[in-house]
Amino acid sequence: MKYIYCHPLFDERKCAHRFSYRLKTALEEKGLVLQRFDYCGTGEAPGEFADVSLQSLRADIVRQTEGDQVCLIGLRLGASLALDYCVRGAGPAKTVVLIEPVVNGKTYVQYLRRKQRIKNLMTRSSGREFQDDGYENIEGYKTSAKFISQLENINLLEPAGAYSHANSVFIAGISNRQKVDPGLAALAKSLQGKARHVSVENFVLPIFWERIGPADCTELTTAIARWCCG
Amino acid sequence: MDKVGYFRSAANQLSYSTELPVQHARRTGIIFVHAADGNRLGPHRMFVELARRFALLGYPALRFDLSGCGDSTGEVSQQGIDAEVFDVAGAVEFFTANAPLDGVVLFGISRGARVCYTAMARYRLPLKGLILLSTPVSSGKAGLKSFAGELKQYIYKLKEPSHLWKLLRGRANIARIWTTLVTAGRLADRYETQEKTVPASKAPVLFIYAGHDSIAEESSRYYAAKCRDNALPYDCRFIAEANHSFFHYKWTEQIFDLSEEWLERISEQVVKL
Repeated sequence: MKYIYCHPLFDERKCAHRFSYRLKTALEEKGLVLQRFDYCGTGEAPGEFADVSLQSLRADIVRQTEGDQVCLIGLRLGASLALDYCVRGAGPAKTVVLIEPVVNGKTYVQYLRRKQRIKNLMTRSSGREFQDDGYENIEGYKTSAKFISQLENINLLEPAGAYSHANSVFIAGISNRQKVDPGLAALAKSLQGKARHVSVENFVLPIFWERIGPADCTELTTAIARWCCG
Repeated sequence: MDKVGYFRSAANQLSYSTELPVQHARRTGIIFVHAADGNRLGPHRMFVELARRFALLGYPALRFDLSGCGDSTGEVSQQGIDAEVFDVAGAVEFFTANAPLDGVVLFGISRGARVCYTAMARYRLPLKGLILLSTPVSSGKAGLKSFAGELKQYIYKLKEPSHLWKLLRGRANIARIWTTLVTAGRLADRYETQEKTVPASKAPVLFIYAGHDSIAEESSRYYAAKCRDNALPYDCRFIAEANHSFFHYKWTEQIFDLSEEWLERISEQVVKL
């Protein structure tokens, strides 16, 4: 069994790196090896971010799994890609752990643009000074319009309707409140009766993928290790 | 990325990646030093892209995670920058011992830049130069400006209806906001005043600041004076439209162009000497 971690993208990739390291350590304590990899054009992988697309991300995950039975653990967009892997039946997955997945792509792109807009305001920039046709600056990444449009079309509730795989899906919501996010609850509901087991759990933690700085995620990493072992 | 591994620094294992030129390797390496709580990717993967481009010019490059960051063991130091300065000295020792190098250029950003400057002042290192981005200085004024900068960012956030709605519904993380503001204000006494003694190592320095960085004006003046006092050759350049972390891919290109031109210049100066 392979345990594969799917990173988020953009600034979330950097902010959440330490979390992925802590998760790897937590799994090692249970005797499990977590494979972390970067999609082409991101992190330390070869390639340019400008060439990243939904197709390239999907192909990168398939390359990692190599058709083996896997447990996929994803954070944010990485979680959405992990579920997408199962929905498309790209390979056998025993367990899927979705940490605060991007359920609605439109909302996600709005959120990315909002963050960029605030950065532009801080530098009194209109955001149009350095425009390249077909590309947008998202948190310092040269992002193709094609990829942004693909991100906007993500809707986990729709493909989840076609989901029919005998695996376990664990959804972890992260917030500063006790209550499960309604979007995640809806995602869990849409998977009921289709996956072998579906559960959603909320963790009261800092939004560690938004901001660098120490965050104690032991409760979350322990829970994930437990799900992977189960 | 040619090689990944670990080297030791005090009790910690520091994770690193190297980019080595395929041919015509120069004997000057470049070591990247990241900012507070960051990692060896640098902001928006800037270090990865720059290391690859420098390797194409023949400069071997090493990126590493400071103690308690990225994939390195240990915890982030809550007290001063001594542990990070020690990590940088260890990285220089490791890289020069394991690659055919005569010396290295330290390339740091923000807190990482300050760490590089202190490493030069404190240790005898085979340094060929320093490229320092957004190097901060500690002073009451810098602390106030940093605090005001963060506050301004929150005010801009409130102009976004979704953020305002979140605040009105009591869902904003007030404790987190307060911590951020206090941390920004603590720039006033975050770093010790640089030693008045002669630096243990001497190398030319290229300072790059962002025009829209609240600390740029005071910091650039401070370090220019320091360099003059210590007879260190220096150059200070501004990227007018940029912010502290250079959050546009075009600014990464400008940083590369400035660095490339400066590296060529200092290597010519060495040959003339």
